[in-house]
Amino acid sequence: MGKMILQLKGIDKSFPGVHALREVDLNVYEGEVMALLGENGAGKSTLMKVLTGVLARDGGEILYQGKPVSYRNVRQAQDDGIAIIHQELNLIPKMRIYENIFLGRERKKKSGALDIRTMIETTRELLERVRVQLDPRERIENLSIAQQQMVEIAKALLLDAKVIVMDEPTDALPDEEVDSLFGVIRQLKAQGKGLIYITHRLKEVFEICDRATILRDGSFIGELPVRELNMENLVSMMVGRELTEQFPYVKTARGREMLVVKGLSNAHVHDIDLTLYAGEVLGVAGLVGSGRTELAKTLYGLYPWEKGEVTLNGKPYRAEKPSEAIAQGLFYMTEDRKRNGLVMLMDVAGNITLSSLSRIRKGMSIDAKAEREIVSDYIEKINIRTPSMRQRARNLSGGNQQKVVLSKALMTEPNVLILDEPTRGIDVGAKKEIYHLINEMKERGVAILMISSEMPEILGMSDRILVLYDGRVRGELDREEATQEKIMSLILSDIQRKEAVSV
Amino acid sequence: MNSQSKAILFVLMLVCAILGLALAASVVNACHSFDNVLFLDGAARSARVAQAVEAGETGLKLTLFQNAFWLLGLAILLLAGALWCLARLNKVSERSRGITKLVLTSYRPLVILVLVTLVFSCLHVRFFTVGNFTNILRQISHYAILAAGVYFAILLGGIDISVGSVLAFSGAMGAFILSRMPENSWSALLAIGAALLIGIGAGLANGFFIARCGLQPMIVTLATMSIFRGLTLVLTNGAAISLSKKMAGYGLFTGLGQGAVLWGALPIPIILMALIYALAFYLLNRTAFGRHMYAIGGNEEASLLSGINVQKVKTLAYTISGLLAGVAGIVVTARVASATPTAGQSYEMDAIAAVVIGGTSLRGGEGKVLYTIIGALIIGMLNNILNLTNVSSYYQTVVKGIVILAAVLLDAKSVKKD
Ligand SMILES: Nc1ncnc2c1ncn2[C@@H]1O[C@H](COP(=O)(O)OP(=O)(O)OP(=O)(O)O)[C@@H](O)[C@H]1O
Ligand SMILES: [Mg+2]
Repeated sequence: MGKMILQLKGIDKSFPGVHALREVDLNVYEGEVMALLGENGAGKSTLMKVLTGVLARDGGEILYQGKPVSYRNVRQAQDDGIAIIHQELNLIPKMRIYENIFLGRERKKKSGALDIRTMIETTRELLERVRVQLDPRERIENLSIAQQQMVEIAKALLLDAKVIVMDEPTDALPDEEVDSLFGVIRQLKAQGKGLIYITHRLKEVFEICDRATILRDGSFIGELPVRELNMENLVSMMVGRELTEQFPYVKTARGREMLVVKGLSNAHVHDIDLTLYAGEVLGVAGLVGSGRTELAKTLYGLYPWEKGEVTLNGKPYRAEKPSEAIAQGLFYMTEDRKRNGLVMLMDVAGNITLSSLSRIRKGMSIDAKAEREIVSDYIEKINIRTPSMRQRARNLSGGNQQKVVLSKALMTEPNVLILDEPTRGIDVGAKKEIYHLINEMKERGVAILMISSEMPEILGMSDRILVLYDGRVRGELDREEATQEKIMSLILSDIQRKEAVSV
Repeated sequence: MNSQSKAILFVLMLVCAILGLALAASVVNACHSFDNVLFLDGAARSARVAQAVEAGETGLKLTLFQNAFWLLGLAILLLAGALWCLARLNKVSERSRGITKLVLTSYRPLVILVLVTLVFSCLHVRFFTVGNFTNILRQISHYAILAAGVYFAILLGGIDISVGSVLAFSGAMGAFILSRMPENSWSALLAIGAALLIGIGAGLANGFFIARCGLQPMIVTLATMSIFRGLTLVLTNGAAISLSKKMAGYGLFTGLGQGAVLWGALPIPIILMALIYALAFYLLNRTAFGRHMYAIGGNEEASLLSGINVQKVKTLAYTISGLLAGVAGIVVTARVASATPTAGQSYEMDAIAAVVIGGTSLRGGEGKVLYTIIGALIIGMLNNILNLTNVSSYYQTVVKGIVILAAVLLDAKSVKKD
């Protein structure tokens, strides 16, 4: 067992109406990864914000290398060797890698001018240590999310951090890039760093973490070595009850053709043919950049069409903007709730009803009573954890924000619902609730197109699976025949074909 | 700290606050009954005291008046004590901190309004009177009407600085029509209609360039500001168009600026202003359009993806701003019975200042329209007290600038904490 470098004891924190942390303990050991686990809103991010001084704690103490500390901002924590990589990355898109890494800590020559050469060289070394091949002068906006994460880690290395916190780092990562992140984490472990790793993908806990601290509703449940844990008892500690079967697939009778796409093409997708039936889930698999989201956005009227015909529920369908798509019964739930899924300044109720205000109109006004009833219905049904429906979306935990977006989608009562990464950043319990909701809609005859980078989710919930690569349909698999290998081989065969051509 | 000492602090705070307020109120009242301005220079003051003593006046009021400065100082000390207790209480009590924060963030403009009223009432006898408040309200009605429109633009995260010029042009057009048709009894309605249409047209133009062409609101309205000021100069030929009683539409038209109801107690511009704010409040808080406004201001992309017709809402918002500039144009022109080419100049700044002092974030997406009128009121009261106390109008401009800075500073601070 490594030496304890960081110890949080009896941390307490309240927000108006929410007791977010009650006497929570967390220990970090040298050369080990500590998983911090809990449902949405359990208080994981809040605990990390307290650690790094973003939020002031109401009680408890923090011992770092044996000494009590109390940071007033992230900068102080960083200077002391505690770095945090946030759920939402904090890099400046228009700036270069080395500029971001040295932001606020620029190296200067004696003359006072920036010492760009040294900064670039140091950045190059750091990038090598995290094993990415990138030009330090590359701009952040040209990097993939995985690469951006590596840059954040490199930044932590520059600060010579002894404790590195990662808040849901694989949340937005495609499977194949998770492995390279794990490689770097193992290397950091070997260098004796202490890591805190927050995730909802429990499988990763067993792969990369040494111990786990579990929170539930802001309370400390326990700290255990991972080898004493298995999936079942971990989940029941997190949610406080037993959860059976992760993917509650139900078979429903396939209805009539709901969405028929023929030869849809534009700058992003090419010759897409697909048929979506009422009461089924059509999973869309593919690598990042395979055109899955672009296909959804095209159907939703966000990208112009060049060719192709679409019918929805038997009627010709065409949308030039989302409002037209919604009017014809198609709703697209975006993959990035922070950027374009929610209005963070607005309250929960306002966000949920935003797309269906015409349904709760009374004369010219919004029917406030109807709104309250519908919203509290959703809050209850989907189990959104919020002190009130007037809480701003920005104050909810990530998973609960996602549930708000889903409620908004459901409230439009669509015929066709496109879900883009519907369970990103959502805890096991809530995931299951969302799967149940998907089933419920299926039974009501909604046709669902589900884009997901999580292979088990695609395999577990879809009736059929469509594989996309490079903006084209590469194949279709039935639920019975589909396996991870078959999907990958459909994708890979294409890559090989391409390579063969280019050689 | 235990609950007992919390209770003691709380009671202490209440006692200090009540004593302080009561003392301040009775001192100010005593000064008022001696018809004295608190900060009149020493000589006049002692003369007034001497006069009162000579007249055989004795009693509590005189004593209060004589020692006004000391007593007010004591009152301030007491209030400071109350604040100190509050600060201590906030340190130890979660609930008290929550309430204080709520009051200071959600109700800040109201708190400022109350404070400003209190302080100004101490500064001049005639400040806290019905007549003076009617006067202030009538004065602010011009840019408060503009501010209601500008609020729509700012809520979207945009801005509209063309309103002052649109005001001038629509007012000038109204006066122009009246003076060209001195015999026609319909001319007043025609003038009003034309002014409103000009407002709507200007707003539509702004909206078109901002929403459809995706240009920056600041640049677009800077351009239209210049255009409409120029058009006003062209129309008026650089000189004022005066309205005379001989014109057929004179009474009806000027009534909108000069008239009053309730036996002259309630000027029409105040009624117009109240109506406009009531309507704006309804639109923004009770209708889908209002929701869409807040949503777009908060996150335009998310609004688009939620199926909101972003371009339409934006265009409509700037059109409302233009329309209200048209209304203000009528009111201003009617008030002085003449349209000058420089009318409404720098009114857009007062309007923006009112919105900002009313606590609306220039980033868009949050704010309360009724606080805009409070913002306008604070500016109006400031101008008023500076006038009453004979401060030169040059300084008034300086003070206004400082107040705006202070307001924005408070806003920035509260955003950081949130
Ligand atoms: N600024 C805030 N104001 C009010 N409540 C807040 C604020 N920040 C967090 N909360 C509340 O505190 C609780 C804990 O939130 P936190 O973000 O720490 O959850 P989390 O465990 O990180 O969840 P997730 O896995 O969904 O990211 C939630 O109920 C949340 O609504
Ligand atoms: Mg979180």
